[in-house]
Amino acid sequence: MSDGRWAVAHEVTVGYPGNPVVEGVTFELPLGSALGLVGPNGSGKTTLLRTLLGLQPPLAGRLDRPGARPGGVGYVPQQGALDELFPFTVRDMVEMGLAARHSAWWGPSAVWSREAQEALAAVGLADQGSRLFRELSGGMKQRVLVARALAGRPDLLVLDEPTRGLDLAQSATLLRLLDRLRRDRGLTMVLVSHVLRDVMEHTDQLLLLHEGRVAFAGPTRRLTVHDLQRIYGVEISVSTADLGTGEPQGIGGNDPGLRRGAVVGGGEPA
Amino acid sequence: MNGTWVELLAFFHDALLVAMVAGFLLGALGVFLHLRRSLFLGAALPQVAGLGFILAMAAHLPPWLGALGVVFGFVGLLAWQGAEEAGGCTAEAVIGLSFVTAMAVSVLVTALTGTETHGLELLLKGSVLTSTCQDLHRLVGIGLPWLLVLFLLRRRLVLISLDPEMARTLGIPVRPYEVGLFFGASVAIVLTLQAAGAMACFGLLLLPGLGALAVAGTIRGVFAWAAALGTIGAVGGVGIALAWDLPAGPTMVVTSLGLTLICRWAGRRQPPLFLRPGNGGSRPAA
Repeated sequence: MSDGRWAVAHEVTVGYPGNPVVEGVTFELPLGSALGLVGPNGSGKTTLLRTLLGLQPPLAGRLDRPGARPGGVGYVPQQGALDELFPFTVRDMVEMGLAARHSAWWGPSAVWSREAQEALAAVGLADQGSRLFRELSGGMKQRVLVARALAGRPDLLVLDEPTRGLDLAQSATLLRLLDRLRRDRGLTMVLVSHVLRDVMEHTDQLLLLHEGRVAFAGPTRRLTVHDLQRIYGVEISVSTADLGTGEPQGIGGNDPGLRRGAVVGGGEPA
Repeated sequence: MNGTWVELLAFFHDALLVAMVAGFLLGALGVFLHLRRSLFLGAALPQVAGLGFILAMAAHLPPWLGALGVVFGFVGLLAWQGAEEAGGCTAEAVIGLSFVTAMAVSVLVTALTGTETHGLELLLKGSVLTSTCQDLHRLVGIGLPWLLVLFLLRRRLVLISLDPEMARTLGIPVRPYEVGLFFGASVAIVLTLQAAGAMACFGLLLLPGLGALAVAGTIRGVFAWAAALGTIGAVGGVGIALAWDLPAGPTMVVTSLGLTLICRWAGRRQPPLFLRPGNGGSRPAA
């Protein structure tokens, strides 16, 4: 029974035996919600993600995944994580997402092809199936990888740094696409990023990691400039004229300065 | 002259057929190792199988049985320890260690037991010219069905090789498929070891894939080209060995290398072959 939640974590510690990476993680992931997982490089985002996906056990605490089902996760890796030496077509890539849904041994190619085409159409790339994946632009590659994840008909879509390496226009196109897919398909989503700007407008829940701990957990709209200054101990490049002095009115969606430039510790401004 | 060639071909037709099947099998299998970036394993497996071969000869057992036993033990050990990290060493280190140990122990066992050094020479040069119809039957009866199994599982094998993390999130058990792939490679290597020798086994796993990547425009094309290049390289090598009375294993390697270099050169001069209509291989990225 999903209990209306995909996952519930209580005081979870993630990492490797003898080497905890993040401690004290408590959050809920309601079905249909979007969770932003934000932190600088090396902050434990990937380790926490792997634990959330059941790929490695938590070291301590309790993690329940009532919404999880076999094959119910669509995973979009970081750009550059896939070897581009091989001449995979866009359709080849998307068909990989079907591998768990169909027989390991055999399946009519027409079915695979039709389902891959449907997934490509969902991301606006219906006419690109026969192109080579490695020849696409960064933004199109990410959309193909989203299509690949969608082909498995997931309940949960996990995106690891989806906007890394993309320019502003490509990032905006991709994030709008993700919003639409979530709305239309009722997907639960986890968006991992070191760029706060990417998650502010596109997630409901936020988990901010800093120095091995959860520095902020809660609704994204409740994150304030004061929170950020407290966490990072530096001035944040946000126009505070509109926000006042950090009253909990939220910064998501209203502040253009933050949307343009805020990067969580160690990253580069986009 | 023609008469001589016809007589030679008739006399060595088993050898040519063994070379053809071995080249096809190893060429196609090698693509999976390229995909998984496990080519070092392709070098270590023949060497480890060679140790089993030498041990079996010393114990007066069928060489292929010894090779199969030792190589399966090696792959089993890798699987048990974990292909990613074994006892604090990287998988590459374990494979490298196995390679050098197998090579050293093979020479020492030969020296200590008084086994004929002929066995070592066989491993180095191969003896495809003395292949019999039993060798051919073993290759066709075991090797090709195994390749068919890999072909039927190709979609999952390609995903697991290219993006194991995604495969895991989809709930696909990655390790059993990897172990199956390695066992498959081991079977193919053991079947072709005596005929081609350890060096040619590795050469035929490595080189056809390299050439295919340069000229093929789709992943299916890579498999097809690799199998074809492996076949041509192996048969061509045997032909050259016959014509100039040279050892067959090294000539297979040199022939495959020549084909690979031609493919790399051709691949740079023109768009990839086997492009599907409309795939826009030369179109600029949008």
